[in-house]
Amino acid sequence: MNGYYCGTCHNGKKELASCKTDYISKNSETCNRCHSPGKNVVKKSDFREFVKGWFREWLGNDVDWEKSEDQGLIVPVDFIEGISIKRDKLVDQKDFELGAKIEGMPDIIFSHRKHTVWNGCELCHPEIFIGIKKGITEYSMVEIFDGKYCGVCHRSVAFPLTDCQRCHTQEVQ
Amino acid sequence: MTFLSLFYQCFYHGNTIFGTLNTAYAQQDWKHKYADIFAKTKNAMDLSAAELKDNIDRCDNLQERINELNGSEGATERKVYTKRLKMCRDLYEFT
Repeated sequence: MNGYYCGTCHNGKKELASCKTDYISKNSETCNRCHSPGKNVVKKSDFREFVKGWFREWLGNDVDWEKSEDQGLIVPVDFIEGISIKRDKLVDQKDFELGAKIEGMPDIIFSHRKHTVWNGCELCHPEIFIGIKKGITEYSMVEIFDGKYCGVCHRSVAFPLTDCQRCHTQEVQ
Repeated sequence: MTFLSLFYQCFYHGNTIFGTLNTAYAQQDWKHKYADIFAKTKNAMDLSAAELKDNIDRCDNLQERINELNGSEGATERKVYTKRLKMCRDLYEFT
């Protein structure tokens, strides 16, 4: 935990300290903040209250995180001193179009810029997307819903796959 | 006598302090090497074939060093950095 996993943020400086090997019962209140199942722990803040006034979406947790950040309503931490490694910003790549396979379905406009605000290239290449040239890797919505390709994140941490028009944004010609 | 004693104290403890610092730096030296390799990942596409090859070799060398980490904290570091380094190496190889 010492600077890894939950301890990256829960280091006692930014957030409450994570587990220690020298556990004593008087620390139990702190421990219960995470080890909470069945303990009826009172939440420190209410999520709905916390996100009040941010841009909304109608799926996921109802928050448009990208727009909220873009408009400066939230400033997520993307660098932790002593942990993160300074890297140059990705050279801006133009958004590109990914053709939809079904007639009448709007094409996807993919933005590398949006996907690399917090992530590095190595997060997706080559483990998730093998092809570096457009069109080399072919995949379907069935595979994506199965948790592959875009589905790795858009089934877990990013907006849900059922929010079709957030990816299929190109107007049908 | 006092001066000699003071000189000896400084010399002896100075060596000990610098020795400890050197050991500590050597222990963490691999992290600096990792940071140096990792810092270039966002420019991977701009690197020449020779530079990419060099980075891959550096990843392999560093992996050997990471494999030597032991103890409870070392085991965590080994697990975390092996994964991170693999992602790094794969990206350079793929590019």
